[in-house]
Amino acid sequence: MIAESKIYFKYLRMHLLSGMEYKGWWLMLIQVLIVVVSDPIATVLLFTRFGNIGEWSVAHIILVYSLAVASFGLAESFCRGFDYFPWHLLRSGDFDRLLLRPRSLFVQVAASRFHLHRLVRPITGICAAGWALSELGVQLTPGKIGILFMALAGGCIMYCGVFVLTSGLAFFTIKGLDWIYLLTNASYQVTRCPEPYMPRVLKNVFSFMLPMLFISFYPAATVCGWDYPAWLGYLSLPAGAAFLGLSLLVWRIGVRHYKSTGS
Amino acid sequence: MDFKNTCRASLSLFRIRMAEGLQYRVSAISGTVVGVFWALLECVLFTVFYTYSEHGSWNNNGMSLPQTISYVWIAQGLFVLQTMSIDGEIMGKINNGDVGIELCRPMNLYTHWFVKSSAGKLGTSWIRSVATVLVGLLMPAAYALGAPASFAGLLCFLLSVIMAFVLCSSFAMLVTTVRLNVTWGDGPSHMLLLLSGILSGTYLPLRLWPDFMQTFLYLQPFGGFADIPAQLYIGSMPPSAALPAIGLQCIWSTLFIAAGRLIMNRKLKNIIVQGG
Amino acid sequence: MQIKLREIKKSFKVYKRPEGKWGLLKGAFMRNVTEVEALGGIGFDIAEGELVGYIGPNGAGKSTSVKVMSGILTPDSGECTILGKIPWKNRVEHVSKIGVVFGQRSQLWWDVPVADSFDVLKDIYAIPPGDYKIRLAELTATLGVEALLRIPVRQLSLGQRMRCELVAALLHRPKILFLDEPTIGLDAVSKLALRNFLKEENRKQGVTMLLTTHDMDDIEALCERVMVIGHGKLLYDGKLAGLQEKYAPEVVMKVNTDAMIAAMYNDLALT
Repeated sequence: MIAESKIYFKYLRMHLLSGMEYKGWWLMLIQVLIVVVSDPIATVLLFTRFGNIGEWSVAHIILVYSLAVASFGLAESFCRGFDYFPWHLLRSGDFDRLLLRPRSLFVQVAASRFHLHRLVRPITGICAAGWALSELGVQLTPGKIGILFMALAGGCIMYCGVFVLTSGLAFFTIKGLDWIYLLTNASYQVTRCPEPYMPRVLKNVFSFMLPMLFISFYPAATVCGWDYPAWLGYLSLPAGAAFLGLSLLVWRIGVRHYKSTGS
Repeated sequence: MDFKNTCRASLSLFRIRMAEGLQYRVSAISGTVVGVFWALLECVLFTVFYTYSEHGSWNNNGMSLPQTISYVWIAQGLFVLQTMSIDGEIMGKINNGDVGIELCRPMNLYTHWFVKSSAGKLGTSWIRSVATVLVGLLMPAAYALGAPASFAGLLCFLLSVIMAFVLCSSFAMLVTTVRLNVTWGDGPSHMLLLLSGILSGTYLPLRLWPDFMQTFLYLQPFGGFADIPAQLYIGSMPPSAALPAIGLQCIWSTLFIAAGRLIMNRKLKNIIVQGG
Repeated sequence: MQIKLREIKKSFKVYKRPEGKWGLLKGAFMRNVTEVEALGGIGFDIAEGELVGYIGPNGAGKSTSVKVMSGILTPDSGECTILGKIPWKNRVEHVSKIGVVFGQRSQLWWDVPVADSFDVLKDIYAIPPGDYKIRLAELTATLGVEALLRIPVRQLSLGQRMRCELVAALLHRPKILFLDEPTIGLDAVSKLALRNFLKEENRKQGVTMLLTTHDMDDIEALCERVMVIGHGKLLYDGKLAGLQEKYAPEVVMKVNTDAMIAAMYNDLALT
């Protein structure tokens, strides 16, 4: 385990070094910043035009939304390799090379890509969450910080699960994998809708299929003392881990399939 | 003669890409699913805002809830026409320096690429577009795409869709020519695409943006991607206002094409001077 | 026997689109599946320290069998033991004892200096630091790549890169080395250098080598024994000379063109 994480960071170092070789990476940084800022613009504009929904102000929504976005960003930063896997590693045949190395495939794939500028998303997400918390007048105690931290970790694990799932499915078919977009960039848009007003179907899908609400809404509710059972806020880690576990199963089956068909 | 040949070549390019589009049906289905999901999510959001928010019932700048929901579906349908990234084949040529080889073809490079990238776009996306709109029509009443405001509105809408396609294609070409400056990398072209996406109305109907921005939003080029056709359909823009709006689309298309050609010609001259 | 294959079979499914005018549309609803046999019960033994040439036309099943032996492909049936174990049963253990070189594909990181790639490989294969130093010095000296260590891979010529690939594949002292067209695209001088190195390595370290190639000069220069494969079956196994007697007895002498060209390049100081 220690050896594997050492390898992981070695890989990251390599990517940083190669990244520095190219000029103009700071342009990418600005670009991601624009993406991040433009992302919630529709929500903010809606609130400015229509005003609050009951007791739901823009700060409430931004808090939930930014938790979701930040965990997505974290997963995207540290499991970037899986994000690229179906199109770059599998198709090109470079996956064979990974199979020929005596190391965990998970670590090798996860670390096969790393882009420093991707960290902009989680950082701005965390800052936005901080702004929303102060706007809502929430006093941060160590316990609450712990819940938020667990929410981010659980969310990161969950989104890693999404990437692993995509890669696992890619072993069987690479065409028409676009729908996975529902689980990545489209999924956190759900948090733009205040939970009490969310249709039941949507609520169920994003609690039990993809435990989106458990890593964003319920932790936020517990931290801010909204009217929900407090224990729901502590479920982020187990929910994320459960999703990742199932995804790893698919990934395993995929690897076995690959080994028996070689394509 | 030259013009005739160009037309024939363009037509066959279109045919090939259309056939390809049919072949990748799984991809089309999965793309439609994403589009429909996205549209439904927007419908839910707008319903919540229109029904429960403080100013929802009056401060909507002349767009009722059913109109907004129709707008969402139309915008989703048109969204696929927008360029998300530069045509893969052309991109490859830019990166490995094969642009020089392209110059040897007996066709104007700008025209050639224009046809190629727009054919690629239309060929792979028309199924998705039609499917999304069809699903929208079949939705339960609260979330359904409504009928067009009037027959005249429908005609204006169709005309405007065609212009939207031309506008999207010419903008895509402009972005491609910007990308010809290999040293700049992906940054500038990506930012242009992003900006166009935000201002096209797919994120949020342009009418719901702050009031002081409305004149700007009307005049800027990217509204022509989705906002103008959608507004003509739902009737928040009456058929009488169609002529200036479609005219605006035409003007911007012309400007984009002119700018694209200019940049490309200058860039190609450099390539020839450098001998590579 | 270090490598032992018995009756290895493997077939792949191939999807075909129906032909004809409406093939495109038909293909949307049904697909024809045909099974293609890549390996039809192949079997052979290779002893420790052997240097075997593996030849056959494209699509004969060469790379499939190499994939089976390196543990990244599970065959449909048959037995295969390498170093006494079944390769696809325990991937991590198996691959840490073998090395693979693909002529067409690099295992070095493209944008960073070669030395950094080696450093990562050191950790991947968990090579003890002391041993790593000795081994690296030894390999770089014999291949003459000391001067290249600080240069990013993308700036190396193909010949230089190939030599670095060999270092990368041999750092962890594998018992078996699979080489897949290692000399493809190389100039005559690099080819000769590579061949000399492989011969030396085989003699000194006793590394078993299986060389897949289309370059018959490689085989002639290196291999005592050749195996010819076609349609997934072993067609010939024995000395190269035997092959000549059987199929082309009238060909008496052959000029070694590579040596000739290499001598010319050296003479003109092109390298």
